[in-house]
Amino acid sequence: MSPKICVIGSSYIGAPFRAYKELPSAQREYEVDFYGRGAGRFQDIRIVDGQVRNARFSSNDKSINVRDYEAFVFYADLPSPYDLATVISECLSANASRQLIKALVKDIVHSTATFRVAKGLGEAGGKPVLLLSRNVPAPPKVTLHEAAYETIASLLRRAVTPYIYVPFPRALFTSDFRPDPKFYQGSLDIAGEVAGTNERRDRNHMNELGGRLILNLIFKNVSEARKHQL
Amino acid sequence: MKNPYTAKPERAFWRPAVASRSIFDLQEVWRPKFLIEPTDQIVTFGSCFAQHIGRALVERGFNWYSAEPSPRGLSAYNSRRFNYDVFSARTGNIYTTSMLLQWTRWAVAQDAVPGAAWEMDGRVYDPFRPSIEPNGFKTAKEMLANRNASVAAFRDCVQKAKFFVFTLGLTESWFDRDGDYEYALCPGTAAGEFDTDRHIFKNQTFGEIQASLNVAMDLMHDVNPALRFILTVSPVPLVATNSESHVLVATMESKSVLRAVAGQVVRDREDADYFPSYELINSPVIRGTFLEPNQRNVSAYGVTFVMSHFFQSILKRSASSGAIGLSASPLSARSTIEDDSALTDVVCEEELLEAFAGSS
Repeated sequence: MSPKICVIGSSYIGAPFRAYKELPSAQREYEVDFYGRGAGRFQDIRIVDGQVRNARFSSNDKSINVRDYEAFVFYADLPSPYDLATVISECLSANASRQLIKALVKDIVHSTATFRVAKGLGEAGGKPVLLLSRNVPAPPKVTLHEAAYETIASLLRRAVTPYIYVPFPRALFTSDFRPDPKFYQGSLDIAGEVAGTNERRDRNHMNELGGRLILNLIFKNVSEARKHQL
Repeated sequence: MKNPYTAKPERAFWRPAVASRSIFDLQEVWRPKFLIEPTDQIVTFGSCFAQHIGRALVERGFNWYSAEPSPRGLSAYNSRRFNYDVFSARTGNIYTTSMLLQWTRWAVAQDAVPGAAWEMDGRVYDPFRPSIEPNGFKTAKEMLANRNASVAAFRDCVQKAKFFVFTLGLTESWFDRDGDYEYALCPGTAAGEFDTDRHIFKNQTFGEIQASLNVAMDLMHDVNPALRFILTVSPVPLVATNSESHVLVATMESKSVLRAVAGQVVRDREDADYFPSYELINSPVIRGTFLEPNQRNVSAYGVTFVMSHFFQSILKRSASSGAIGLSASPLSARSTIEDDSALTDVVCEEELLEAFAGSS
């Protein structure tokens, strides 16, 4: 039997969920349970007595036992590279110190529901805990490049410690670091279904192709984290 | 028998205005010269006690202006650590009127901002704002750019404000002989290295303090002719003195000189008023009621007591002028204190001097 991992997130999890469903059983490196709540209600998730409460999937109320899983992955409201690039560029234009920027990034990360729930899980013994950033369209004023992206990833990595930050793969972006539309056309909702009328405009949720990338990213990073743990 | 005193109001006479009243029933201790509306932009600078004024203005819904607001997303804890929204710009404490003049001259580009920097344990500290960042800056370049941003923010405050509140704190000051500038603190205390040849102690006189204050106010007035000043004197005693006097004697002398300067400047200028926070804490009538056990720090109750007088006087002035739109209601002392557990947690670089007590 494959080891089990648990993916908890907002509506973003629809894309990797669909990719997982379409993946032949033989290629499933891990057995994955997906639990989600729409972005507005993600913060309702609680960790009580070693159990994750209020995490639903397909309207089924379920309480997750932390001990059932080899790893936990969060994919909800952790700031995206663009979010942080915007904040950092505002700070730099005000000549803020590097020390302040680091403190600010940490504060932003620690104020997210993702970090709060991850912390509860970590304290309840759920390890390793991996965190992905939220998907957001690139704001027009923000321009990223390799070095900036790497710096932001490193700030995020430090800010989520002792948990593991998983940066989006370079392949998700175009050459000028915009989200590549091919991963967003025909975006999927939380249940992995094509998201109705918003589909054409939605640059926030990925399609199955994007979901496959995210799923592979999750498998790869969970394997690495488990190796480190051993 | 008629004489000038017969026409004086009750507040002019000690028995009815003070002796026969509880300290909590003192009336008309301040009669504001200016009408202050909640919508008027107010900026606050000066020594530690000025921090309470800014905070109280925000609590009462007045338009306290911060030209260097805390970055979006920064926690309240880090906002305090990095000295955001303590004063209207991140100047740190401006203890002396000469330091105020220095900041003003930088802001109006009359003087170039010096490149002075202090180094300690591989970090760089700003000699004019030594505690502005919890662990200093990474490089001198970063520190200087950050200081320049605060100078620009200070200018922004002068340009935009209707009221400039300044709390006079100290007469004792430290200057750099070579650079011809004043430090916020004695070098070698918060950071830097003390050099007896280079670092000059000056206990400023009435004339020097008065001149600095007047020049600073004139320069600000040139930038913003509508600007009005509200002066206060910090009721907080000196942490330490470098004079030959006992610290208690040095404190009384220092505060007396500052109080006298404030009074003189307000009498001389139409654009300035004086708010008696100093008297409301330190008058013998108050009997030290609002001091903490160290007889230095003002308790949260004291701050509320002082600020209640401030706001009640403003409201009364507003009502008497027939102004409308003043809805800021005075809060009870209890609610204010409970709402702000960090009320007494002011950022006071001068307190670093306490670390040197008895170290010789």
